[in-house]
Amino acid sequence: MADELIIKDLHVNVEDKEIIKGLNLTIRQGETHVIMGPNGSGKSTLSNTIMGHPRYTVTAGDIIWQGESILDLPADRRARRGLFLAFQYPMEVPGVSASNFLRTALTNIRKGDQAPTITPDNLGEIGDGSGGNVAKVGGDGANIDRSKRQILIPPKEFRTILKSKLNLLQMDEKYTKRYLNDGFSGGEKKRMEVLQMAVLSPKIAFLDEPDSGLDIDAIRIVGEGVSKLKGPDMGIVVITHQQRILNYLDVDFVHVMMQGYLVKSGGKELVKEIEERGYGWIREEAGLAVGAEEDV
Amino acid sequence: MTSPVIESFLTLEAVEKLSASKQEPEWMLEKRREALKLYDALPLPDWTRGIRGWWTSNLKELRLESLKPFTPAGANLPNLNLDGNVTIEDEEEGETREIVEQTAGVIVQYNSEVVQVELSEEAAAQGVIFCSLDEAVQKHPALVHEYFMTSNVKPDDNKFAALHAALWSGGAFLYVPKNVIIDAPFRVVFYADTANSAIFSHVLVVAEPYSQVKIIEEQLSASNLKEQALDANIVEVFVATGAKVEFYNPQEWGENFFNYSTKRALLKKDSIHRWILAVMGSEETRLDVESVTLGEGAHAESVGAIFPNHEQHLDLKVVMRHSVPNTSGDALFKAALLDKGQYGFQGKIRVDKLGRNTDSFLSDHVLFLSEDSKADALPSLDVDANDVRCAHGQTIGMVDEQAIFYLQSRGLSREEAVGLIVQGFFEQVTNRIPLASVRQRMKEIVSRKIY
Repeated sequence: MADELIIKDLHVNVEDKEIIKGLNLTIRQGETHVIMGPNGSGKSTLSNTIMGHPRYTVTAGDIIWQGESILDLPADRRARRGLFLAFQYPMEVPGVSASNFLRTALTNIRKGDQAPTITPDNLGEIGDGSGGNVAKVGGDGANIDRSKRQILIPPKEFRTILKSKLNLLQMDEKYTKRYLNDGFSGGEKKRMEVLQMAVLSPKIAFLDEPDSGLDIDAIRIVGEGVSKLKGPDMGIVVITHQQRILNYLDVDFVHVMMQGYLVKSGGKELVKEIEERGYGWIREEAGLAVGAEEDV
Repeated sequence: MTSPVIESFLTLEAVEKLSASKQEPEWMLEKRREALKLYDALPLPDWTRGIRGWWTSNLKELRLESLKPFTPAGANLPNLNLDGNVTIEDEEEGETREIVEQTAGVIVQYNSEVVQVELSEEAAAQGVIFCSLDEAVQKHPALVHEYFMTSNVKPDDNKFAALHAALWSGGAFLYVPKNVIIDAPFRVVFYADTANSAIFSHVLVVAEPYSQVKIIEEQLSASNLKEQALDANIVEVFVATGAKVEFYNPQEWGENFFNYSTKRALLKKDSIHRWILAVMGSEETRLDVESVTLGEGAHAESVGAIFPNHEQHLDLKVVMRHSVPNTSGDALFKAALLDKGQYGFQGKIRVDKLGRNTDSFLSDHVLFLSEDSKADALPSLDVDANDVRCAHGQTIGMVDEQAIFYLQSRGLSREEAVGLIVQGFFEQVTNRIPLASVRQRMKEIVSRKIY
C-alpha cells in the first residue's frame, strides 16, 4: 500500500512571524502534486518545514509520515525515511566530489532510520571489520583506527547505479566528477538535484521551484528528467509559480497557496485557468485581502 | 653508541654527556656549548597572548625543568605502515585495489634515537645520502659542518632553536647529488611515547643543482601520555640552482605535546620549493615557516591545513621572503576551528630592497565550527622594492548552516555533513600529499576530531 504524508492543520513561524496558517494536505506515493501560488505565499516555507529546516518552527498541527509524527526528527532522519527536497538554491560544497557525496548519501539512505548513526560511543562497532593497517597512534584527537570508518556501498555497485541514472537523465558523467555544485550554472545545479533524486529514489520528493532561473530549454530538460523518475513508489510535489514545467509532467493534483493557506485544489485544468485568469479570482473566492507581498 | 642517562636538563654537564655518548667531534661539542649559552641569553618568545596580544589564551605552562633532554627508544613502536600498503578506490573502474606505495627511503626516530634507516637501492646507486643526523656527523662531517644550523636556521634565531642546537639527537639527513631525480618520497617519522620527554627532531635536506626530491616528515605519539612533552623541531632545506624540493609535514603529536618548530627553505636560482603542512596535533604549536628566495627565478609555495579542537592552540608564522629580483611565491593557509580550539596566523610577504618584479600572493581562510573557538589571523605585506605584484586575501566565517541542512537533507548526520564540509575545505591542501596512506590518515584525523 502506498505510504501517506499527512500534513494536518500546519502552522509555521519564521522568526516569530506566522507564514503558514493552518494547512492540510495528504500526499501518497505515486501521486504528482503541484503547489502554485504567488511569490511570498509560503510555498518554500512548506517544503523546508517538511524537510526539517531548523529555521522554521512548527507552532501547531502535525506532519505524519508512514503513520508517525516526524516533527521531532532532524532532516537526515527524515531523508532516511524516504523524504527528499530538491532545493531552489542548491548549496555549493567545494572540495567534495559529487560522486563521493552521493555515495555517502545513498549509503545513509539505504541504511534507513533504524540503523545506528555514528557517534563517538559506537564508532568502533560500525566498522568494516578489516582492522586496517593504519597505525593506531597519535594523541586523543589523532587516534586513528581504520576499522572505525563507515562502510560505504561498494564502489562497483554504486558506479552501476550512478551510470544508469546518468543515462536515464541523459547527463554527462563530468557532473559527478566535479565538486558538488561548485561553480555550476543555475541549470546545472537543478539537474544535479534531479540526479540526486534519481540516485536516492525517495518515496516523497518535494521540488522547490525546479524551474526558477532557467531558460526554456533547461526547463524542458529538468521537467522531462523529473517525469522519467515518476512511478508508483514515488510521490512528487512540484512547487512553482510558472506553468511551463508542467508541460512535461503529468499532474494529478493542483493546489493554490496564498498568504499561508491552501486556498484551492483541483485537477490539471486548474493550471490552465490560472494561466488565463491569474490568481486574483482565487483570492476573491477565498475572501483574502490583497497582500502586499504578492504578484497581482 | 650507548644511550646516555641524562637527568638534568639545561646544564653544560648534560650537553657534554650527550655529545660524549655520541663520540662527537670537538666542533659539534663546541657548537652545542655555544648554543647553550645562547639559550641562557635569549628571551622566551613572546607568543603567549596571541599574536597581536589582544586575546587571552588559556595556555598551560610548559615546565621545561621537568623534561628529560634524552629519552631512549622504547620497545613499543606501533605499526606505522611503513611498507606503504594501502587500499585505494579507482573511481573510474569502480574497484578497490590493494597497492604498495613505493618510498625512496625511511627513517624512524623513536623518542631521541633513530631506530630504523632504509634507503632504496636505486637512490643509493645515484649517490643519495639518507641517514640519521647522528650518523652523518660521523660519516659526512664536512656536509654537516657546512649545512647544519649555520646559514639556514641558526642557534640564535630564537630560544628554542638554541635549545635544539644544544641538545639535538637523532635527526634525519638527506643529501641529493646534482641532477638526481627521485620520484618516490622519502619518509621521516618521529614517534614518541614518553611523558616528560623533550624531543629535538631535525630534518636537514640538501638538494644539489637540478635535483628533485620529496620528503614527508611525520610526527606521531602514543595517545596515553599523562604528562606534557616537548618537540623542539627544526627543518632546514637547501634548494640549489634549478632544484625542486617538496616538503610535506603532517603533524599529529598527541594533545600533551608542546611543539615549537622552525622550518626554513633557502631557494637558489630557478629553484622550486613547496611546504605542504597539516597541523593537526599537539596541545600547543608554535610553527615558524619561512621560504627565502635567494636566486632569480626561484618559486616558493606554502600551503597548510590547520585544525585545532578541544583546547588545542596552534599558532603559525608564515614568511615568504623575496630577496632578489624576479622571484615568485604563493601561500595558502586554511584553518578550521572546533570546540575551544585556538588558531593564530601571522602571514607575511616580505620583499627586500632588491626584490623588484616579485610576484607573490598570500591568502588565509578561517572556518569556525564552534562559537567557543578563537582565531587571530593577520596577513601582511612588507615591501621595500618597486615594481612588485604582491597581494593578500582573507576570509573568516562560521560554517554555513544552510549547507549543513542541504547535506542533512540527503541523509547525512549533522556530524557527517560538517565533516564533509571540512574535508572539502582542506581538500586543496590534503590532496597534494603524495602517499595515499598518509592522505587517508589526514582525512581520518579530521573525521575523528568532528565525531
